[in-house]
Amino acid sequence: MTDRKMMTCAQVDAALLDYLEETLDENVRAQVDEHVAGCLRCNSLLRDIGAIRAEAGQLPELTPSRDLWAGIAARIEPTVVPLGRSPREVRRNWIPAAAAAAAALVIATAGITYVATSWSMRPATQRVAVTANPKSAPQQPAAVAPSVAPSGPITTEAPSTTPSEVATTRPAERETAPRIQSSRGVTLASRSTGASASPTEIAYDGEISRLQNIITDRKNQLDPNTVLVIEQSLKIIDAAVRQSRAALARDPKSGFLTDQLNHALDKKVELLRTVALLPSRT
Amino acid sequence: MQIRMTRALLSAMILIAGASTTATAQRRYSESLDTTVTLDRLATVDLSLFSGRVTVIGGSGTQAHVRADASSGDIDFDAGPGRLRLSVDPSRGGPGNATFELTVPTGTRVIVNSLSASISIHGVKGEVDANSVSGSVSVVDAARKVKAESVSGNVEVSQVAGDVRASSVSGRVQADDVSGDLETESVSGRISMFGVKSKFVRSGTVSGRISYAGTFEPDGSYEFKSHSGGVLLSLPADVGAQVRIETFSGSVDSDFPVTLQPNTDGRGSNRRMEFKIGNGRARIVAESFSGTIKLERGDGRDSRN
Repeated sequence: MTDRKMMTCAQVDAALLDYLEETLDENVRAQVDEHVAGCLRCNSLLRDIGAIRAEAGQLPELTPSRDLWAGIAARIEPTVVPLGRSPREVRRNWIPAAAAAAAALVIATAGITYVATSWSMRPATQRVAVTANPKSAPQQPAAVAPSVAPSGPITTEAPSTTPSEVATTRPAERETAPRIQSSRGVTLASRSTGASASPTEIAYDGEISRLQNIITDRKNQLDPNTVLVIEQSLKIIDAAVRQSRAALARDPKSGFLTDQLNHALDKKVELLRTVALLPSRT
Repeated sequence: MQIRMTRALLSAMILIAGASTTATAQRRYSESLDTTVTLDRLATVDLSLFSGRVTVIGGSGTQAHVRADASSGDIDFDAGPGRLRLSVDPSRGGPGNATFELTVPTGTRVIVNSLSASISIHGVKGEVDANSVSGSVSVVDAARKVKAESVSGNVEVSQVAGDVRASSVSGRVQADDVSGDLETESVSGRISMFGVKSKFVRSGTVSGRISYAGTFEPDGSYEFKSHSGGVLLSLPADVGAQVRIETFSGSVDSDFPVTLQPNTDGRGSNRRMEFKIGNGRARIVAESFSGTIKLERGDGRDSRN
């Protein structure tokens, strides 16, 4: 997998550690990026390293697993009322666990995003911090960023909107619904009006925003049919997120609904990670 | 500590990669390759290509027979006793389209990475890691550990004496006759699991339908979650399990005499039921936000209806 003008796989191997530690000279780093973008073997190696880092981040002594908490929460819930505890007291029980879940997510996904970010970063690419102000963010079409999904039952049918419609944030919706805006104009699934974000959701949103920025940068490197599949899948996931949030707004203490929401958000992060690390089509 | 550990792991991986590179000579073939090499027991075969087809079949003996044809791009071949590496370099023209056909000793570990090639790995009785972005992945008769993934292609895994992770974003996922831990995932693809004999099964999808027919081992854990898709579980007559079913707006259809209790303590909106069958030793969880959850009496082998 070599070319006269490109680094060889062995040279990339030798530079990989410094590449991941971000201590490489910019020119060398760009050479590594160029090679990895066109080499399945090195791309796979980076994916494996990312998986190892993610698994290392899921060491049990660091945080309790979210699945474990969902089970505990479901069992705690029916006992709350007989014990006569106030909703406020009950709510407090969620805070440390939710924070732990958020921390777990950050630890578990940081390695992947780190690798993907490093991998996709080019000298010409300029990133800005995540902002909640749409006016201050450049409004570029996003590659994979569904802002509108059908309400009601989710189907697997092809979306009625075109990919470009899906990828563009609509001004009218920005004015009427509270949204999280990424640095590239990517709009994440909207949160129900009046609902506050939990630490877990904030962690998810941050991770999703970072990954969507990477994908925006990589759109042209991916197969258009694959991009279409991803867009449709994200629409399905976003609809699930919205439905879960709407239900959760009516029943904020439901462990089941919290689990459903987290499951959908998990799927979204997982899908975006996969896309961020997909090999280029050329 | 984590940083040190990660650095150590990375160093080890790079050293291993470097060692294998120096121990074997890399050769480049312009269009086709037909050769035989001797591999150690439990050697690794590592294949990568952009498009085309990959077929790997397990065979007896210690020799691997390799046939590769590339209609565009150069074939890179790199073999030593512990590792065989075959790839197509598209940098010199074309999309890297190729056909790989290999017969490898049983027990060989097989790794395949592809953009759009279809992948078929049969009878290797070893570890498999197969990934395609838009191609289909089929793994039959493997062992120890199998990972099979695709974004839009179908994924089929069967006859595995070991752990399996099978996933697709929009393609169908099928895992049959698995005896180790089993994890299946999709976003919209249908997930089917038949003839499973695992102690740990976890299946999750967003809009796909989940079907499971298999044994429920004592002390086993079985978890099925869908958002809008249905969940169909075929439970053998002699099953012993603690079952929890939960839905928000979906329905429940059960061959077992259970009553769905509204979770109404003044706050709850979803509906949940928990019940015990037999000795109640296995743990079964089935959840769907809006899909139908069906529990049917079966023989644990087939519910393909």
